[in-house]
Amino acid sequence: MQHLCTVLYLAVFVASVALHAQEGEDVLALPDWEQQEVHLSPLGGGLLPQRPAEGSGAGFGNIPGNIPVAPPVAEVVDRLEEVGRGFFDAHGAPTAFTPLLDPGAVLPEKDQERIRRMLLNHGLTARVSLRLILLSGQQRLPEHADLDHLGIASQEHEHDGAAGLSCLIVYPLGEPWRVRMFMSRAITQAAPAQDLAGLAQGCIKEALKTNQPTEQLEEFIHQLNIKLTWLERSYALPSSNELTPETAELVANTPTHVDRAADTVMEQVWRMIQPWLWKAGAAALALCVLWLAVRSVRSRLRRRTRVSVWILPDPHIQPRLGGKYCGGGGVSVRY
Amino acid sequence: MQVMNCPHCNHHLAAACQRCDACGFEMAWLLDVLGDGVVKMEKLSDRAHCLRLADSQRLLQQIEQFQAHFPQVFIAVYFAVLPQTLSPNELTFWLLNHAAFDSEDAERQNEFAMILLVDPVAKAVALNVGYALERLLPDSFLQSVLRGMRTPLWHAEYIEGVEDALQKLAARLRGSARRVEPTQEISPPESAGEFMRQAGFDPLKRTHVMEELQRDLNEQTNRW
Repeated sequence: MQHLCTVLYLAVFVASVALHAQEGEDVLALPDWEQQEVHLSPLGGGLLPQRPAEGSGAGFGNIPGNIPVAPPVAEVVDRLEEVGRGFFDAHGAPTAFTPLLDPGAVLPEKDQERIRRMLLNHGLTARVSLRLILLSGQQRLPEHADLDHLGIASQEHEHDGAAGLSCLIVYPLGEPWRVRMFMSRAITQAAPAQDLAGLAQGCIKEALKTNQPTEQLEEFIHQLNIKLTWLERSYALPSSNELTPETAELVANTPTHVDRAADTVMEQVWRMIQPWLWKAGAAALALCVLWLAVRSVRSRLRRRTRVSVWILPDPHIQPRLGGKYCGGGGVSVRY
Repeated sequence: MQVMNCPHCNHHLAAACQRCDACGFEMAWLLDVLGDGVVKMEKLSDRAHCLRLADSQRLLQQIEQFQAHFPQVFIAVYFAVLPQTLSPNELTFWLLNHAAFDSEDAERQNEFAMILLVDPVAKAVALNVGYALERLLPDSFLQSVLRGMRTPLWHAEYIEGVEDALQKLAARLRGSARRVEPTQEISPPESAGEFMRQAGFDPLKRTHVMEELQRDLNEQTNRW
């Protein structure tokens, strides 16, 4: 009898616990994350493969925007899908200025239009032209992505308020911590790298305050617009007709198309010695002139010190007025 | 063809004419006045006494340098006061035909001579050249040389004026001359007798002093 009571008591307890457990599930729903999403959240970036940070591009400096910076998770990166070569061929040299590039159509058309209006509004008010490339969360740029080509295509466009001031954003939708920001050389030379990194950090931080990917993107662009405007004012970024000679020369010398495959050693050497060629030529010319001058002076001195005589011709002239050696003539003046 | 003028009337002379067509001037006129003899002409003669010794030496050095560069050419600078009846052109014409210029070079001919005559009283300066220099130094050029001398001569700066004239004449002659390196060939005398003749050891005349010296020398020799 005692054993029976014990069994019944346990059964009632288990039933009550099960009932309470069922009620808790109804109140607090567990997150339904998919396993794939968990793998696609690398805090160490993964948008781009490792590439030199400074000076590798012809005209753009890479501003690391993903904070905190940690080494990319190789497995996660391998699972990301690379953007195809056709993407760059299609958007390398656009015939019209398109501030927003969404090759994978990751944004709905309505949101695309809103983002495009934001970017165009930024272009009307700011000197730094802004171009945004949207990728999906599963996409990443290929190993040899020619971002310089994309950025320069934007830089060359007449929409740019100031030649040489461009900003290229590669933004994976929904993952703002993987965003990459590329500034033109004119900006990276004017502003310190720490300030530009802080600018990117601030934009990402503000974007991460919301969960909705579209809202994250809008907030990111909004913050970027504000911070770029302050950047212009803080460092007095030059306009197209206010470029310093060094910056203008840099912009002028920036190649419009960088063909890395054809970038042989000879071309690199040629590019390195090209600015010195005219100086070397001028120096050689000056040396030649100096050598000729010294030679001429030495010749004159030698001729002057050398004793030499001049032999006159001896013509035969018929005598006049009975003079054997002189036939009149002669001049006289009074003073 | 260089056109020359008559020294007397300054009329143009035809080639190989023996007397001036305008005034009838000929050498015989000057021979009656100045004679037919040959006179010695120094490089620098200051008969007007207008040069200091230092100026004379300086000018003489300039003339010798000029003649060293042009071994065929004589140049004589003559400062004199002329009579009113004798024009500078007439005197230079006569001098070029009757002067023996002071030169050690026997190859020089009077055809290559030039005379610069300055009359500080009449304030006139004249320049005349021989036949060989007529084409190289035409009258127009000589006129410009003399015009350049007028200002320094008016200020009695005779050396500066003559030096300027010599520089212009030398520059003009260099343009028409052929430049050569001077060669100096001196061969040794063939015998001792020829050497003694060329050495310049002139024998002294036998005098009373020399006889006494010779006698003393002989006595000393005998005593030894």
